[in-house]
Amino acid sequence: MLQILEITFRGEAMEKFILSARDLVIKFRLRGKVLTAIRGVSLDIYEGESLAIVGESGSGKSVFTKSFMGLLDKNGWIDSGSIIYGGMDLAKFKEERDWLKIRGKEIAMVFQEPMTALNPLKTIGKQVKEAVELHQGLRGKEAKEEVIKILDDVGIRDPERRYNQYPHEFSGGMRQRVVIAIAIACRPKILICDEPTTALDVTIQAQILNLLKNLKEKYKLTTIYITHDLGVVANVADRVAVMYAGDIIEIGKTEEIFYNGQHPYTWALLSSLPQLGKKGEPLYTIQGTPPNLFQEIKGDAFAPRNPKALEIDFIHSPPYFQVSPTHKAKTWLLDPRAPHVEPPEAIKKMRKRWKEI
Amino acid sequence: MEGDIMEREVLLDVRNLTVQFPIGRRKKFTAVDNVSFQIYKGETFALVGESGSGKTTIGRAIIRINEVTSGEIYFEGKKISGDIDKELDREITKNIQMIFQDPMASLNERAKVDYIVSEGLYNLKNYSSEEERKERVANALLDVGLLPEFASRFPHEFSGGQRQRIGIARALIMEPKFIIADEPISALDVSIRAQVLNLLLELQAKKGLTYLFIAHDLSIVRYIADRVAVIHKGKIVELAKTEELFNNPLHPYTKALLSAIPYPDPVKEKNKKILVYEPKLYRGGKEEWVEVRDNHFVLINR
Amino acid sequence: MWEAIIGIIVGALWGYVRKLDRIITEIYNVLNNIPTTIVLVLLTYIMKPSIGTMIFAMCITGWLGMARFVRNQIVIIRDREYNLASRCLGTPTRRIITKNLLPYLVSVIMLRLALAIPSAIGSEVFLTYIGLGLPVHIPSLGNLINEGRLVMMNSTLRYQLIFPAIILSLITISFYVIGNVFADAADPRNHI
Repeated sequence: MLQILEITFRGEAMEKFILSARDLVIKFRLRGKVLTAIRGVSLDIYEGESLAIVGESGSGKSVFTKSFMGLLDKNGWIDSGSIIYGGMDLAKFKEERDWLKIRGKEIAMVFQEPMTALNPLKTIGKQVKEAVELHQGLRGKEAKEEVIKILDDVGIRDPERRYNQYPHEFSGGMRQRVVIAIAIACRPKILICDEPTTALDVTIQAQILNLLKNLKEKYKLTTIYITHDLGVVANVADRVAVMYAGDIIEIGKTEEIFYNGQHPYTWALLSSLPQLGKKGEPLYTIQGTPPNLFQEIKGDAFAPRNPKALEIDFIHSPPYFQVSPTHKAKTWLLDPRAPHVEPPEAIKKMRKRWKEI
Repeated sequence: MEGDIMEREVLLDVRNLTVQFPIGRRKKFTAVDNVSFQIYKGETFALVGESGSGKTTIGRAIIRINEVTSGEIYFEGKKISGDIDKELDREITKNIQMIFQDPMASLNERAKVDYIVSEGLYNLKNYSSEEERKERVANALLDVGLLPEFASRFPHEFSGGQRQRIGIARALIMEPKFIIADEPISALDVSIRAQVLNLLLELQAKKGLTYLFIAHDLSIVRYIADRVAVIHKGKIVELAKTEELFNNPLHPYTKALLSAIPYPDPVKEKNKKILVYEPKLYRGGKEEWVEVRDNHFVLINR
Repeated sequence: MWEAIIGIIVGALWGYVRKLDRIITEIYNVLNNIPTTIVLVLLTYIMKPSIGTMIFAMCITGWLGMARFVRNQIVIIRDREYNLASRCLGTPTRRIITKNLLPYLVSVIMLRLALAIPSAIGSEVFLTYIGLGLPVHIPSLGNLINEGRLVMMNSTLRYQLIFPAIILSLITISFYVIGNVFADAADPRNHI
């Protein structure tokens, strides 16, 4: 039998975990068959950090965070595992009223499409006010003043006038600010942002990301970003978790992931970015498609698409190997007995920068 | 492609193009405002701007989907804007083609891939027999990396990346000289984008195509384009060779755009400062299109 | 049925060719203001009550609704990218309508048609009920209900009214279901 070299990760005594997911398994029923979207994922989120979860579509990143708020589609359920938050196990929640204690007040979410997140028939002031009344217990005039304050916080100029305007009178970036305002109005502890800027122009995106960073400071939030854009990740995140086929295959501080990534999938993601491509040469591409999650996956899920896969990748799923106290990756390449594998060019360049830091 | 631009052939010549849309009964919206530029044979020319800047409208005006309010467009020296005769229209249909942004919306859901790809051929009727048509469809599919047997299937059976390839095959089968790619990869998943970009470059080398690449993502543009034009609210504010634009941006809007692009490098990102473009600071005076350096043009207010 | 065909053709052109749009919208607004019911009543009154008359009258009034419905649908999909693509490829307007637009609309038109039949029956019932439609000796739902009217006064025989009513409902529901089935079948996305 192989000896597994996993070192159990102990958090630094200074920082506390605010949410902890352990061995979470989430399944969906689709067309009569069962699909395992999340395959036994464990993640600890520190209070006050900014964590990014990256992965291609189908990796499960959205599903994972939706389970924290009980927002899974009707045909999905948590099969096993736990989500520990504030002394409660969220995975055990069955009733809507249990979730009402959490949603908004403790954990809030900002979605990708600001157009569909707002009610077109109500003024935006009213929509933010509803959130304030519900979660902060203020009423009437006090509530309105709070709303004005929040609108100002999110950078909407002339908030008294805009209070009475409807969503269609706002531009995309402004609408997203309103959505963020509604989320903040609940005074949550954790803010989950699911691709919050993908639908926006580049200059607006930069402003919204800045706004989120400022709000995080001001309201002492813990933020979780779900995105496929590594540029956004580099901008906002302290830590990055890379997801593939329903599992976190690598996690670490942002600099560690970018400059010292260890998993072949992380390499592939970084190398295929046009920003890192060299003109005149074709871009590095990842062949094949993500695996079929209806079936059980044997070994490393990324192995079939990995041109440098080892034999063992197809047989046994690798455990986490610790690269540093804050960085671990699930790849057999980190086993001391593994042969040396050359990472792609782009990664080598990144490694050079790593040495400089 | 480097090399002396002056000696290369001009394929597309846009002069003082203005496109306006009526809103309601009286007002007009100016989407494109007095735009002029040229595209040389064999190059990849990028038109970059944010949503609403008018870049898509320019592409559509060239291929004659949108009407030109004023100005002219010349292709291979012939005027293709405004009213033209049937012969020239056929020529344009053959020589200029377009690839669309959203692979989910750009294919006819109710038609087989075979029909979708051959649609242009049916229109021009420039094939001699059914066998030839089938062969050309098969070749087009192979060129974009798909199997010929896909022709008998429907679009919904394919993924986004594959559908985009079908759209490319549809354009390629016409054997065009010039392809307008309107944000061809923005709607694709990140891991697919590299594949499609590679395909476009490969096809350009193989078939000697000229591209007008419309995008909002400057980082993609740096990799793929020879020259870049930045467009803001219907006007081109800067035009230069790619590296020149990125290394020496002159117009404040270009600078703001460049500073806002997220770059996958944590140290750079966390230390960067974002510039904001304030148009009010630059108003007043006459607008002039000036060549500041060798082939580097800027729109300035004198 | 005819009303549907005429309605579809006019509606499609109306929705697609921009120049026609404004003119026809004006015409439509005028025509729509003429109450359908009155036209129906007038026509059947003027011409001899018979099945042929009924059909003719309903045709005249019915095509308008279908045209407007089709036009609205077309305006929605007219600028979708795949239609633009067809224009780039040089496809003539005629073929765009038949190959791109109408197949998409088949499902919605089916639904609309399915409901049109029961509504035609409904109109027939109405006209016959007020005595203007088919003459008494031709059996029809309208006549049945008419006869039922006399009976309604007599409480013990009131139940006789239920039967035509039930049959009308059943017919309407079954056409609706059939319409839905056709609509689903017409959409290739449902072929797995």
